[in-house]
Amino acid sequence: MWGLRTLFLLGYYSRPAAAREIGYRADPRGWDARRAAP
Amino acid sequence: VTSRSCDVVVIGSGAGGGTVAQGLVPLAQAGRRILVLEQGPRFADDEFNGRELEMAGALYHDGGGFLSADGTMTLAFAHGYGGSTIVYTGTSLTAPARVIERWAVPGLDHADLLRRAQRYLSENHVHRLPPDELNDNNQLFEAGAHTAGYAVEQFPVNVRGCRGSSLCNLGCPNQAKQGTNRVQLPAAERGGVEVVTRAEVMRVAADRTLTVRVRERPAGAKGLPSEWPAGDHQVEAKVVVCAAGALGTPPLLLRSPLPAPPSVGHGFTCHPALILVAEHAAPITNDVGHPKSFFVDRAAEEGFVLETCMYFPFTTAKALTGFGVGHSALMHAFPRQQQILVLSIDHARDGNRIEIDRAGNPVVRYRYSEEAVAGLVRGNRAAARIFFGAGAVRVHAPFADPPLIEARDAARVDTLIDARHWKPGKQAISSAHLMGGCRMGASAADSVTDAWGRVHGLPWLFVADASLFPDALEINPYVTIMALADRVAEGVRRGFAELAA
Repeated sequence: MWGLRTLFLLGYYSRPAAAREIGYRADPRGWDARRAAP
Repeated sequence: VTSRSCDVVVIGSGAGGGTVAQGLVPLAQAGRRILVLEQGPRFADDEFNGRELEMAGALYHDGGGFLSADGTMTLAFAHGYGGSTIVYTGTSLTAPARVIERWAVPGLDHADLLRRAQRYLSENHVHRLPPDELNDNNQLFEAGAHTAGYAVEQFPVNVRGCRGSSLCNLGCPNQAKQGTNRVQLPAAERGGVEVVTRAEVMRVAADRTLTVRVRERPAGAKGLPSEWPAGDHQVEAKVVVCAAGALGTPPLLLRSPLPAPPSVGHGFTCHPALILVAEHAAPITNDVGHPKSFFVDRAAEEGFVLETCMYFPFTTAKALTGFGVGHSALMHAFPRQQQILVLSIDHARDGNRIEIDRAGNPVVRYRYSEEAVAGLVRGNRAAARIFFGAGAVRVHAPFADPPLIEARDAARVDTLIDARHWKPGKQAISSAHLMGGCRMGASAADSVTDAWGRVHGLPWLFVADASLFPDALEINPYVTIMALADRVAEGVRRGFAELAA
């Protein structure tokens, strides 16, 4: 079983809002999406 | 319980099982019934959406949270049509000659493996990506390695129409990776091989009968329903090929009432790995483009390999030591992050093995050798030199305490990064190269199978996955698994009449 720290990080950073907040922008459309919104 | 029969049953559909399935098409076309049983589901193309928690939960065993028995290492392996080839990055290297020579398996030689591997490199469209498709994260690694004095090589990868989603480890949303789910399994099915998903083999009996449990598709879950009705099935087979992976095949043999050799489960190795993160002053392209284009191979000289990588928010957060403000600040530097994966070469040793618990589930007993820790430390130092060579302003080094090293201290990485800071459980060690447990060798006294994957003393039972490896491969393993599985398929084809009798 993962520890409390890992479970907290899982709960926090798996939220789409957290991903946006830290600037994570991976997109299934890859380079096409990035070129459309650099 | 439903009773069924077939001529050959293949357990697992990853690099090993998928290759064997395709290799047995001539038998299927000759009227033999060939069955592939896959524990995970078959996924629809549009189910791969790149969302970390959702995809990890659907694809990985225990959602990617399977731990070694002492809780110090996360072991990643997937279930589904295509096995772990769904979630690898497609890096395609052939086995080094020195490794195959060191394995010293009677009847196995490097030239034969290389010839077979080259067929799959061609079949799976392996090539190097052009420079204009490489992101900054990869290009900085190449530049930093040159500055730091390391020989750097570009990975050949098995992609076709890669759009650069960077989401390989969550299953390609564009079906670009040429895993067994895209190449070998569809070819096998076109040739008459049957694939049954959501079908877990509970045990194999000495009379060649398999107990198979087919599970319902849980409400709301990803993946298609099984091709068979849910419930228990008894499958009679003339030949059984176990290709369930290093954490699937040894546990299956251990929980089966078989006179298998006593070394089943022994000799587990896994290239324990660390994700290192550095921070640059300005944003770079890192979460777009193929994530793994370059590597530095110091396996023979220093016991480590460095690979470019770029992980997702939770995986990255887990890799960073500490908590609170410092941790959050580095996470918020995500657009400025460069990442490197450090893999240590851990040779097979007594005590590192796969067992089963009372329910028959895998348990991994693993202790870090001094050699494995030394490889991680040396790799950690080399990665830090490469980061600073690429212009990073600070590096997060799990083998330093405190872990953040500023650029002004770049000359001191050998002092700051040291084995004295090693504490099992403190550093986030993970592994996706799971090897050993059914090693090839000369006899049942020292191994589980011969050089053709045939289990000693059980001529109808074969192994065709990374559990065959007698020791660490020192590179990414899928091509070598396919080459070995190709030998198993040839052995089954050649000996089928005798085996069936």
